Parts: sequence; structure tokens; C-alpha cells
Amino acid sequence: MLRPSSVGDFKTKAILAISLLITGCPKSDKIIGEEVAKLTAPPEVPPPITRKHNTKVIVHLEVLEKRMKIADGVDYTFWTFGGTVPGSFIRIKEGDLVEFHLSNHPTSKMPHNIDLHAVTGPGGGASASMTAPGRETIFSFKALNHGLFVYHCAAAPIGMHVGNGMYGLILVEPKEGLPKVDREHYVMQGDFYTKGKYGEQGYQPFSMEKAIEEKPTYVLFNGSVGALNGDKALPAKVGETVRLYVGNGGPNLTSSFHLIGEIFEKVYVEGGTSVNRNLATTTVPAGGAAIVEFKIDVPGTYIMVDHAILRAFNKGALGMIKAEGPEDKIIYSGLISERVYLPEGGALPKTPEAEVRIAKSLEERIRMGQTIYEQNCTACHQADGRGVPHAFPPLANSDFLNADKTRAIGIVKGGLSGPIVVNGESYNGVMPALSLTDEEVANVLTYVYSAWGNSKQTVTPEEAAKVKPSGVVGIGQ
Amino acid sequence: MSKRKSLLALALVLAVTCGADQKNKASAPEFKGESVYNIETIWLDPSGKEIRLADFHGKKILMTMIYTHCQYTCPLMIAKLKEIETDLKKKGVRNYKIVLASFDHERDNPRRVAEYLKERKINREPWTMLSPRSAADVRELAAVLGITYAKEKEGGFAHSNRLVYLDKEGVPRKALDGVKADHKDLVAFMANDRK
Amino acid sequence: MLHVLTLAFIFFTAHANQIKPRLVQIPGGELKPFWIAPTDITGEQEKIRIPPFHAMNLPVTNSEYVDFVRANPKWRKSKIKRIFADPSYLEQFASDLRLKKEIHPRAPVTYVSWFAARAYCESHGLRLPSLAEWEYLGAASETKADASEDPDYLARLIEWYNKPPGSGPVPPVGRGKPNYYGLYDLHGLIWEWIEDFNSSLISGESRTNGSIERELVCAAGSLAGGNKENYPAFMRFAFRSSLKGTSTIRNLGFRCVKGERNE
Repeated sequence: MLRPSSVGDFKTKAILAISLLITGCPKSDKIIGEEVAKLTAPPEVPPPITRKHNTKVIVHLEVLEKRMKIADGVDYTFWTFGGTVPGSFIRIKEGDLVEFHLSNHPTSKMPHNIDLHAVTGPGGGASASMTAPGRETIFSFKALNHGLFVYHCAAAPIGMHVGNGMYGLILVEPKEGLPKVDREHYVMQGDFYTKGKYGEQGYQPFSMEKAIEEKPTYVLFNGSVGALNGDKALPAKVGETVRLYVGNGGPNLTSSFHLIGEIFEKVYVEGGTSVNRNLATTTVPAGGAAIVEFKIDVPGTYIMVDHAILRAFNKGALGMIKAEGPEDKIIYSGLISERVYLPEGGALPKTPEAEVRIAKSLEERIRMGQTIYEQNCTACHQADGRGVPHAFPPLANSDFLNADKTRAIGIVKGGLSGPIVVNGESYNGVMPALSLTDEEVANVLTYVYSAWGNSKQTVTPEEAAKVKPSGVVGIGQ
Repeated sequence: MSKRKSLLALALVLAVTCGADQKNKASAPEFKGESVYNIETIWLDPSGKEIRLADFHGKKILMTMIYTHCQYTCPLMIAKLKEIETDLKKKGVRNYKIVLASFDHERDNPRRVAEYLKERKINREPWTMLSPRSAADVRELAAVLGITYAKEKEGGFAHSNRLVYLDKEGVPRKALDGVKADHKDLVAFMANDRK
Repeated sequence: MLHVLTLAFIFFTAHANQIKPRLVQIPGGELKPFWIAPTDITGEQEKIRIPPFHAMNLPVTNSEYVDFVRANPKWRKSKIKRIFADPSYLEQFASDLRLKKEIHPRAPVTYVSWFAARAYCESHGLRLPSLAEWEYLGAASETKADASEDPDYLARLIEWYNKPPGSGPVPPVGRGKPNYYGLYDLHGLIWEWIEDFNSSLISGESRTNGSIERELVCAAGSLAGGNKENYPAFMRFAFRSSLKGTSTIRNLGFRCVKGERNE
């Protein structure tokens, strides 16, 4: 993270030294020298500011309209600050004078501008920065207040500009700097509105209707499904204190930001000065931010979610922090044992059974199976059967599934836990037993086998009836 | 049509005034690329005389656009210009013009404009006001000065209040937006501008 | 193989479907202004009456523009005065009268300033359309004169506005379907200049909501937005408000109209 100071740094230091000789002590808000801000793409954060004085900071930010992946097999045209969603991270110091250069690439279709919430003045810079394609606008402002602020495009129609990803974070460090931590990362949530439904393949245009109705197709951290998952999980080590700069671009939703299995020891609430302690979930409003800090005590994968939880499991608002290091069974034991529980008085009385519909043809079996799948399976295995990398195994094109129909029936009836290998990837999770009738088991499996390049085997209720539930603990052990 | 006429008029003027030493400049004289003098449209001064922006060549110009039936901020703009006039005098700035150009080609003929200047007590140096001959000419000048406007239903104009300083070569150097903006920098800039 | 097919296809369409440029008669009518426009004292947004006029069925093309600068040296790339166009004026031209190799002569001329577009129309005894006229033409879908409230039509426009810009040359004119009036390419290919591009009194900043600052703007009525659900109209509005008369942009061209000036 830390870099050796550059020549420019040296120059300003020299000037500072000379001015110190002359004035005796640094005037707190005197602007000394100038430097070009180093911006970073998410999830990187520029290094902490080490200079003690204020300077003129020149920021160059370029607007690019570009087609990028929003989910596997799904493309979307993002409008970006700096080529990424969220846009480049800007880091300055309270009292700095910022000369802001906003350029709009000549290939852009739209004019854009920028409203930085760190700016004091009407429009926050937006009215001074309306920039046509192939042009650049320049304005300046003084960073009067410290904090973590959102910046965004405010050109008409603003909902579309923000909805296409035109936002990012600017950190104005307090004069004395922020306390030192071991790692810093940049995470920003946003909601997206596409014409097709979640996961619908191919190029997907923006949907004005869904945006106005505030019905997002995707809710994402850092601009795409899985941007912070698997290999792209944020790294950390046991014993380290991690600071996340969390933003929410919106345009519509407020985030209930939560890191599963961690407690934020410190939260700079909504990115401001007041610090709250020991929160598990913190609110990040649309157009707002929060700084959260936590110490990693136990290794493992920590999942960050918007705890409005359907957004995490159905719309993509899920990211990961992978912590390496020694275990500590006192702080967290993991599973110690698991056994059968029989309450006194026996099982619950049975509710009268609804009329059972029986599939009359293969087509009908598949159709009914799809409904069961959508109600019971999509949360984990996803609507497209691709699962979630490193968390939930795929059913699409699955060697594990196609190899053994009987095993599959057993798993649907009885659940599954323990390590398995699917398409060369290993998984170690828990699938609960589903309380389905034999008819329903046959339908859902026949649907799954008929979809996504699977083997097209059929499963009949009779076959389903013959197979015993696999038992929660079992396979692979 | 009007352009062809104006070119013809220009050619005539050149033919009469320039004589033999101007034979290489059959069209317009060469001005800097950024100069508003490149605009060839003809306006009318309060005496009804035809005038082109290039006729101000060699003078610093403060230019804005108003219309005489305007009851909202145009009077404030004139008040602002009077303040600037006083401050420029203090700084010893002399060789300049305050040029008001009208949005209203239907009503602001030279006679009406002359009356207006008299009413406002600005029928004197360094003030003048130009009457447009067509809506197209107004649109062009506004585009050059970065002024936005739209015609309103009752014949008035909604317009932005912008004052532009053009140097002696007709190049826009500085602008003041709004009728209450601080003009200190503008006055200092004009006083120090040797161009 | 694929390449050969594509080429053959282009060859075929270019010859079979080449649309001849002409002026199309546009019947008069009314337009509900859905951009932000001055209103009268009562705040009513009245319909604007559009008298009949004629409009070019196609945007002006590169090759037509070459003819124009051949006849009018003042507007050549090397001669243009900076006050009339930005430095990227006619970026697609290799020299004063020649296009770059990859540029299609029948592609719409772009990288033209408002001053240049105006001069072109004037040289043909025409003029640029007014904001109201352009929006009147642009409201027409293939089948309806006014599709400005047709959700399918709006969705299609949004798709274009939102499509990746790409960096290749602009495609030729007249490839799509004509609209209700028989005009091509009002949407989907380029933006187009209008005569009163500088008539919007509030900036493209999205949030001023039609309120104006008295100090900055002089106006009798107030300014109000129309249909807030017409995003394409707002995008055009924002685009225009970002322009200067000198702006020269990769996907901004123009077409001319004939008829009494109407602002």
C-alpha cells in the first residue's frame, strides 16, 4: 500500500521546509505547492496522505461509456467515472484546494457532469461541469469538511446516469489523518435496472420503467455479480484491522450493510465524524457512505451483504473477505456435533393435505418442476442453475448431478452436507432437506435434468418413492 | 439571402474605402480566429446606420443582450453596467464601448432604441445599442456570446444575464453571469489588458 | 467467410435500398412540449402550434458536405475560424476536400458546429429546424405521428441512447425504417443540431426542477418540465444544454428544413 515518496513529494517537502524556516510553523490552511491526485480503481484505495500541509490537488477524472459484464453472460452499458463502477476513488485532505478536471471521452453519446458531496456550493460542482463528448471542464473547490462523500453525475435524466453506474467516493481526510489500519478497501453498492430479468443472457438495456418503479433487477457491490467473490474476494489476515470505505450510489435503495460473522468495532456513521461502536449492520443511504473497521480474529470467508436479504440471494448483493491465519476455537468453535432432536409429544399434527396435482405428461412434469425449482432452489442454485462460485454448486451442466440419479433423489429428499466436488470445484456447504412429495421430487428433478445442458433423464414419482433420504450428514464423508 | 446581401454590402464598402492597397483582400479583412469580428451580420445603431461588430475594432467592448420591453432584470443589468462604468473611470480605462444588443427584432427598431437610451440616460458615450434585422442574427450573436434565450408568449424573451468582455481584437476574454455578480475582477482585468 | 457475406450484404443493401435525399412535406399540427420550457403566468403548459414545413428525409451526408466546402472555402477544415468551430471540426476529413479512408461518404456529416450546419442550410436556401419542429418530427414512430407517450417506442429510444458508443466510423444514412412522415435516422444514428439549441434557460443539471434563479435569468413566467417519464426527451435536453455553438462532436450532425422561421 505504501509507496516511496515521489519527486513531486520531495519538491513540496522542500518548499514546506523553506516556508517553515520563514514562517516558523505551518499555517493550518495555507496551500503549499501542488500535486496530481493518484486515483484508484475499486476495490483499491489510494495510500493514506502523509503530508502535514495543505496543497493544491489536481484531479483528472475521465468519463467513459462502456459495455461491461454485469453478470455471467450478461452485458450492460455502464456510464463510468474512470472506466469502472464505482468510479475512481479520490483521496484528499481537509483544507486542500482541489482543481477538478472532468473530461468526457469523444466516443461518448451523452454529456455528463459531476456533483461531489464534498463540495460546498450550489450544485456541488454539477452546474460548473456539464461536459459534452470530447470536451473537458475545470472548476475548483476547497475541501472545507472532512468525511467520506459520494460523488455522482447529475445530468438529466439523473436517474439514468446514476442508474448506469456514475458514482464513486471521495475521502476528505481530517487534518490529523485517520488512525492507521492494516488494510483499506473500497466497496460501493448500486441498484441496476435491466430490460430482462436477473441473469437473462446477452446484452441488456436499461429499463426506465423498472427504475421509476424502483424495482431493481440487480443490487450489486462494485458493479457486477461476483465482483468481490471467489478469486476476487478481498484479502485479509488474522490479527489485522480492516477498514472498508463503503458507499451506496443508489439510485434508489438504502443499504443495510452487514458483514456476516463480524462486528464493526468502529463505524463512522454515514461517513461523518460521529463514531458508533460494535455494530453488526449499518445503514448506508443512497448517495451516502460509511466507514467501517473491524479486527479479524478468526480465519475464513466473511460474506458481506445488503441485509435486506433477498437482494443478497436473488439480486447479487454479496461480496467476500477471505481471511487467512491460525484458527482460534475459543472465539469460534465451528460445528461441534449434530444429532437428532425428538421433541416430547412426538411430531406436529399433520395439516390436511392439499389436493395433489399429478403431472399428466413429460411437458407438464417439467413445467410443474420449474415452479417448484423457482420456489425452493433459486435462492442458492440461482435461476440459471449456475449456483454461486465457491458457495453453492452449479446444477447446470453438472457432472455430479448427471452421474447418479438415485443420489440426486436422495439429496433432494434428505439434504446434503460435507465436501463434494462438482465440475472440478470443491464445495463444502449445507443443503437442507426439502419437504417435498414424491411427485414434487420427480417434477423438480425432471425439470433440472431437462435444463441447462443436463442429461435429460426423467424421474418418476415411483422412482422417487423408492429412494431413501440421504440423511443430512452422509455423502462424501 | 440576407447573407448574400450583406456580403454585397461589405464588398461595396471595401471597394469604396480600401482602394488599391487592399486588392488581396477581396472578401473580409482577416481577424483573429477567435474574434467576434468574423461575424458578418449587419445591425443598426440608434441613428439607423448599418453597423458590423468589426466596426468596433480597436476598442475594448463590454457587451450584453437585453430588449427594451424587458421589465425584469434588464434594468438591473443596466444599473450594473453603470457601476462598472464608474469603476472603469476610476481605473482610467477610456477607450472602450458598452454595447447592448437587442433580442427583439420585431419591436426594437433604432427609433425605439434611441428613446430607450434617452429614458435610461445612457444616450451618450461609451454606450450604444444595436437593433437586429432578423431573428437569425440574434440567435447567432447569442451563440457567440454564450447567451441562452427563448421567446415567450407575450412577445418577451426569457434570457440569461451575461456580460462579455471583448478585447480590442474582438476576442471574448471574460464573462460575468448574473446581475449581482462581483465585477471587481472584470474591471481589474480590463484595466490591465493591453490587447 | 463471414466477412465475405457481410461485404456482400453491405454491397447489396447499398445499391438496392439507397434512399434519395429529398424534402418531405410535413403537415402542421400541435406539439405538447415535454422538454423544459417557459410557461405562461398561470403555469399552464400550452400546446405549441407547428405550421406546415418541409424537412430533409435524411441527415446531410459527408459527400454532400464536401460539395458545400468546395463551393464555400470559408468553411473548409483549414480555413474555419475558431469562433465558428472547435479544433476537432471535420475530424473525419483527411484534408479540406477528402474524407479519411475508413469514412463512408454516405455517412451523416458529424464533427460540424452549429455555425457550420447553419451555413450549410443557408447555402441551400434552407435553415435548421427549431426545437419545436425537431421534437415534432422526432415524436413520430414508424406508424404514429405522435408516439411520445408510447412506452414501447420510448423503450426503443432508450435502447439506442444506452447502446455502447463504439469507436468505429458512423454508419451510412437511410438504413433503418422511415418514420411516419418518411424521414430516416431521426433517432438511432446521430444527434442533430437545431436552430435554437441555446434556448434552454436551465442547465442540464437534473435537479433544478425547472426553478430558475432570478439573478441569472430574466423571465416573466416560470419554467416547468413536462412528462418526467420521457427519459429520451430529457436526454436530448441535457445533450443540447451541454453544447456551445462551436461544439464539434463525433455523433452530432444535422438536417435542414424549409419554411417560415419558427421559434
